[in-house]
Amino acid sequence: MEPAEFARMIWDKFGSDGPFEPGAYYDPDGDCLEFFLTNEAFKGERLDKWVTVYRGRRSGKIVGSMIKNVRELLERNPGLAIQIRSKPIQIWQFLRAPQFSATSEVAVRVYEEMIEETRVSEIHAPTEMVCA
Amino acid sequence: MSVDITLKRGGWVAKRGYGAVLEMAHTVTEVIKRPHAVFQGIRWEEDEDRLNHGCNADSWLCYSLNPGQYYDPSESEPQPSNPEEVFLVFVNVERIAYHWRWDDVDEDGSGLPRGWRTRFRERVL
Repeated sequence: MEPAEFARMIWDKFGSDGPFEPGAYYDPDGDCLEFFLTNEAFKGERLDKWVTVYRGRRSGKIVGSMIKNVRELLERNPGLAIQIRSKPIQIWQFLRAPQFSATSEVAVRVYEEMIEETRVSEIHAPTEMVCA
Repeated sequence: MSVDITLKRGGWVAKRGYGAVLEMAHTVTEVIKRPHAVFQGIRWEEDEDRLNHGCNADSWLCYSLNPGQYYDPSESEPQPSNPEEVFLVFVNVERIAYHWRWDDVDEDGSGLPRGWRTRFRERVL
């Protein structure tokens, strides 16, 4: 399938001209959780083993993030997995787990910035990641 | 060698707009087809591979290229890309592209992604 055809197929099936809505997605193929707060074009900044921060090209603000090694993160924090199974939690709560393993003040501050930004958006962590 | 993108990820990408879909279709394809560099063994991500897929982290690949243009998620026309950046496509052992993004180039003038000497086990292309 040619790229243009692929793009059209995906857009016809899933696309919408409605306003962007913040959301999160767990990808089992990469064992990663990705979320977006805004739709601004971004550049990735690797924070640590767990998180790559997406910063907006225009604003410089956090527009989203990718959290990797989700299964390992849940294995290291079994209470977190139990919590997600029993009652969905928000992304900002999930971010506390990698934040508490950060080893530099800079990383902790970036986590705090992410948590503040995501707290407002009220994005729920996908429950699929504890069932994968 | 082909690389797949799952329909589920395609649906997730589409939520960000037509530009994001165009990036997935055109930019990811171009980087996979004619990469400037391919790295094998994603060191910072080796644990996820070993623990979760039961396979060797050395099999995961990262394709790198600055294709000369980038797509804003909400626009359908590409814009010139920043020459100080590269587009990275991460591919797992099953040849599924599970992540892609723009990143800075390294300060060594190689045009390779920032920290490439420590991020990856080896450069295979």
